[in-house]
Amino acid sequence: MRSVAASLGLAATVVVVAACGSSPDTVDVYGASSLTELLRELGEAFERTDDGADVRFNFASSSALATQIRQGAPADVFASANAALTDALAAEGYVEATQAIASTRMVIVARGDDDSIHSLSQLGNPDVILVLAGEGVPAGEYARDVLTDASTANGLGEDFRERVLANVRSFEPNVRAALLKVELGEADAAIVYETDVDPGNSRLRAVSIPDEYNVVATFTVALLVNADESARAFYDFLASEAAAEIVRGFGFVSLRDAD
Amino acid sequence: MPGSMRLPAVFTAAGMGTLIVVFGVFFALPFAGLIEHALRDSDTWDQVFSETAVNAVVLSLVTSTIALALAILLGTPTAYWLARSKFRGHGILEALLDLPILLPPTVAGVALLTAFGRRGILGEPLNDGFGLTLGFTTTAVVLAQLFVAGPFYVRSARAGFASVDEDLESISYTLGASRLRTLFRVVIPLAWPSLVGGAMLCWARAMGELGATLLFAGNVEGETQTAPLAILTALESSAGLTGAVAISMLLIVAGAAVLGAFWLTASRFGHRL
Repeated sequence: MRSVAASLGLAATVVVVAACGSSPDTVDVYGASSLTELLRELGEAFERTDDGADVRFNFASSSALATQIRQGAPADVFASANAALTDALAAEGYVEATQAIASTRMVIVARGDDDSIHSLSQLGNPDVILVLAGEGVPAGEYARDVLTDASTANGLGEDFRERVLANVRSFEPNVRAALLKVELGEADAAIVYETDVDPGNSRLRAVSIPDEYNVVATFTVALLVNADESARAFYDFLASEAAAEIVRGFGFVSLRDAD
Repeated sequence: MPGSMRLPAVFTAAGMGTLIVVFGVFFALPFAGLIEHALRDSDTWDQVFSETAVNAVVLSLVTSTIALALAILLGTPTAYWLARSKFRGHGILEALLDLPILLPPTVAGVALLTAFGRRGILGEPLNDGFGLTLGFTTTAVVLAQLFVAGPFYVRSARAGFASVDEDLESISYTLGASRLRTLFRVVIPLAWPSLVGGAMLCWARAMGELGATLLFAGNVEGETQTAPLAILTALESSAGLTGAVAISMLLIVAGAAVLGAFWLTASRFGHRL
């Protein structure tokens, strides 16, 4: 009997030690991968304020993060690239408050060392190797919206969207992965957020999408239920002018006054 | 016991038994969780045989089997040489063949791209010279699986060959058998359990491969979307957790069936060797 108790005690200790992770004062932010640099900067700025607490991040596609939250992941704040995902979580009771913080538009990203792609219409040409974010991933949905908008007789042809999708050689689990494929030279082009393309990166080249076909991607932040004081403070910080300036600094449009 | 030291209470039959039970429960619970989800959400069963699920599992089965075949073809002579070689450099080759096991799969994918991608060491000349691209093809899936799973077969085979007494081989030669005949009639039968075990591990690892295939081969249904990728994609899409669980069910059942059949046939064959 003693030995059984000892073994169970040993196993339990291992589990408890392994589980010792988050202290109550850390803010756990689950963010869309395209917000990586912006959220990190916002986190650092917040940590420097009076209410500042440690901010930790989990970056993935918004859809994957929403699934994790539904399965009980200990997130305090959820920054999503798609308001519909946040609304769905809200309807299920996971969300306490939301605010839209930034928006951007879509852009074509092509290889820096190859000049051949310089317009949206070329994406429908044969032999072009494309990658897109997958269906269900917000960036993938926005990209498809752009293609749909362009697929009219007066636009780029009613079969434009079909032709482009036929050129897609991979549907990536998040938009940054699609960007990587272009950067590595494996794909000729992808459709990503304008803010994803770093102007200083010579391996990438942004090609703009005509306004009439482009869509606006709105990033919303949700404060999740059971979030503590520090998380609330971070959420409030995001509505400040200091935060808005950081948002603009990364090339996004600040939606601070928009709500 | 003279100068007896009291062992910690854990080290008794009951204590060890409890640890074993804990370990077993740890491994059983996630499967129980999957089944519980499937039972709770009746939509799961509809999706188990959906086109996406079947395409993905079939692709996984086919590519993993080809990867295993290549691993056996190329790996068996390599393993034998490693087991028998007195050559100084063989330690380096052995370390090299063990490296893919250490590499995180995503890094393996990047590495494969730097070698075989459009800008890669071998890939660039292939692309410029012959217009051949390996990336984003079913071939790329097989190559990625071979890279991450092959070493498991080679390690096991090497250990198996090393455990065969070299004297037995010498005896075979003195009796007039050729090297090849000795290999097939003496060495391989004696190393058979290691070869079979290594093959099963290699195949299973190939079936489960995700990071390297995603990066090197991409994700398109029917062509490069293996079961693990389909599961990841389902989690991203409207199919959600239910879709993921459905594909997982099909994968587990198909995989277990194939592994079980392989093991049974291989064991029986082994007894006749």
